[in-house]
Amino acid sequence: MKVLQVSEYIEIVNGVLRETLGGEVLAVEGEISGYRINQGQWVTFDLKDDKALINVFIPAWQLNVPIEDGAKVRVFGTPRVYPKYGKFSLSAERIELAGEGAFKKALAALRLKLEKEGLFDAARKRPLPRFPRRIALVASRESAAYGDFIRILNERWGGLEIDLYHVLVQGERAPQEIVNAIEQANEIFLERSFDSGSQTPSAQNDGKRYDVLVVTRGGGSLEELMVFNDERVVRAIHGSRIPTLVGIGHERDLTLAEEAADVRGSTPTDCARRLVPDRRDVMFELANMVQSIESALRQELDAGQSILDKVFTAPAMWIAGRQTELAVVMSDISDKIDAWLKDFAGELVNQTRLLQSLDPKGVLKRGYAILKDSRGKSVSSTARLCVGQEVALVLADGQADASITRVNGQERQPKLL
Amino acid sequence: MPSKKDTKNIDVAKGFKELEDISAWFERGETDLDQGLAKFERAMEIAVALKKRLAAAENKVKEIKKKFE
Repeated sequence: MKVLQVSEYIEIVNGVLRETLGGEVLAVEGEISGYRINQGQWVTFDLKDDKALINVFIPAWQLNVPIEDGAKVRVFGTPRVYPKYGKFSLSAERIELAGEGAFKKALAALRLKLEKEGLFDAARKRPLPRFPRRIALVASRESAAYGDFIRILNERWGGLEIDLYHVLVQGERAPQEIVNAIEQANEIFLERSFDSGSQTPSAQNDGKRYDVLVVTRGGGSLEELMVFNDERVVRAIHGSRIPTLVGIGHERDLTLAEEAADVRGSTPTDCARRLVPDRRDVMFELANMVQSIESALRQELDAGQSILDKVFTAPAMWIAGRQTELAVVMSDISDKIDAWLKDFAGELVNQTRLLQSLDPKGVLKRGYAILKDSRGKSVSSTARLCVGQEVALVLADGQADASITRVNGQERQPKLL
Repeated sequence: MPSKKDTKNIDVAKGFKELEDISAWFERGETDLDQGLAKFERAMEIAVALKKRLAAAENKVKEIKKKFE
């Protein structure tokens, strides 16, 4: 009997397994438990059903679906004994999710993970330019989605430059193709001459990228649309330096790729609507703008004209105002000097009247007489009179001589004591 | 009291001020007749000077307008 070394024995066992299966890859379905990643590179878990259990090994980079404990999966691979630990395991090439429940569960797990990483943050979403010119379109050339998208675009707007990055939009190879297309579009710089309309690719960093990156496909089954829930696709869209517009399937379908996009279109047609404005709306808006500018300008001109008018009329009006003021002041002075002179005249009349009343001649006219003695002195008392004395009487119009016959009723002068 | 010569290039604002002062003098009922007559004469001089000054300004405004129309 030949005695074998341990490694030789395991090599024989592995050889028997290989030969027996003839290189055929078997698919084994079961539920995951004990899922773990070693050194960030090697994924191991137990795949089990009610009666049995087998260890599964797969390099992390080959694992394209999100899995966790309890998930039902189909593992495609070959059985072998791992020499270092003598452990029998299923070496997987690829793992698929089994059953719709598992899809949904896995999808929810991936959404949660990416959400925590901030891939769906509303704050980091960029607006699309209102009038994009250069579009990178990631879609299938044969799809109805592509036709719809182009048709609606042309109905609404014109003059767009659209570069189609043709990709598969379903199946195993689709995610990688889509990722490659997104990366390729991001590496292209367009330098555009507006006169000739020609494009020249450039490696310069200050060159312009596409204005918008559009990823779209039409409706399909959940499995078909899973391409757009693929972590690689979602990350590529999130990482795009070109603003992204993603519309997958129908309105009710919401894929992670759409959630990671800057703008989500619910369908390919909706993508076209969100990408460009309707030229009729823009024409209407332009007409409104022109009208509003014209009206604002007219108002400015009117205001200016009004200022000019004032400038022209103000000096003449000021002069007219001064002239009126002068007339008023002069009329006032004239009135005042009249009144002032009248006061003088009034005073004169009063003084004259007073003097007139004091004039003795005026008294004589009323019948009074002045009595004067022989020396011409006026006599104002009987004491200075004696009987037989000669006196003169002065009247208003002349003089008469008289002799005193009685003084105080007596013919003889009483003797002075 | 300013002389007659002052009225040739009379300052409009000062002219009006002087007229107002004369008006107030009469209002006070002053009794100096000679002074009153002199003030009245002065008022008439200022009024004529102001009229001339304003008429000249009016013509100047018309002239300037014509130049720029």
